[in-house]
Amino acid sequence: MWKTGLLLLLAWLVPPAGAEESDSAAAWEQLDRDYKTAERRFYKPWNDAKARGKPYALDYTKHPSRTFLPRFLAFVRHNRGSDEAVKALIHVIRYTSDQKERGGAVAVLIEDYAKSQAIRPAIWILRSRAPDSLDMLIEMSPHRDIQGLAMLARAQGLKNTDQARALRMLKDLQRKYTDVVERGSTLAYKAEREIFEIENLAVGKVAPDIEGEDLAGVSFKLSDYRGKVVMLDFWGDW
Amino acid sequence: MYPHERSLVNRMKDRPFVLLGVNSDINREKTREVCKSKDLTWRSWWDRNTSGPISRHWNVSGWPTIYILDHKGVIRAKSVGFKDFDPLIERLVAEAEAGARAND
Repeated sequence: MWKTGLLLLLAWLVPPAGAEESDSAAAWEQLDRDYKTAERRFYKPWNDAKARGKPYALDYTKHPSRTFLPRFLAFVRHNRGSDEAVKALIHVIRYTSDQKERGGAVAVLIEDYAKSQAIRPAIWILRSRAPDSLDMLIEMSPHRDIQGLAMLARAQGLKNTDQARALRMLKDLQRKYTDVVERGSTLAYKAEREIFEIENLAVGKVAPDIEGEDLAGVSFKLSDYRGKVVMLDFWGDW
Repeated sequence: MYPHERSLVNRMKDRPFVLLGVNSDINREKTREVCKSKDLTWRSWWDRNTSGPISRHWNVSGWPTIYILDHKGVIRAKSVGFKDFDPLIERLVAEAEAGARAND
């Protein structure tokens, strides 16, 4: 009898393996679903008006990206350390306009995930919202791919303000990161393209020529238009 | 974006200005149709996709990316994402016209 009692007690103290993980995954799924529903609801009057050929001014201060901030923050508090909390932190860092709130989210991200692979998807948002934190990540991460990606992101953020420092980081990447691949190309190759941009595509440089076919298949060159001011627009109809 | 570009091109007609595109749509024919139906008259290189040779050479990773070149081909401004370059373009076009007059 006492043995059964002890077993029950142990079962209660030690959660079944993986329980925490699946809990945070389920909670994230719920939050994500609610968020998407709120988004649909937010755009509905605009869509309805559009269907009737009428204009409708949306109040973006009521967009769920903002109104859901407390829920994303609560999610982080209850699920710290989980992979899903990284997604919630990314949302807060991206959408909050409160500096203190953003700083807090960045601090939690670094504290909980600087040594983890789970931080990888957050690197791109840190580039624009909290570039200084990338220096910490480069320092603290034991993973070469995270270090390399953080270096690339940091250098991209610096290329218009501190080119000398950006170039130093990029040349380091070019030498040492020939093996780390991100979206089909090595970090060394990406660094080479960034160096090319700093050295040849900066304000004040003469633009390199472009030669190729237009949409109708007729070949033409950028230099055909010398003597005119050119607005060069990289675009897609998507 | 299109209405702004259309009005810019119309306003600058007969002045030393040209809008040139580097188009990264996969379907060239479909984009030609769009240009026709939406009256997009400016010329574009077709770059096949977002990792086409021109976009790669110019290290483009966000769309739209915009470069403003003066009449000598010097890069005077650039941005990833939309930015209102109209005042700068007006100034550079006036510069180009003044240069052309000085050479007459």
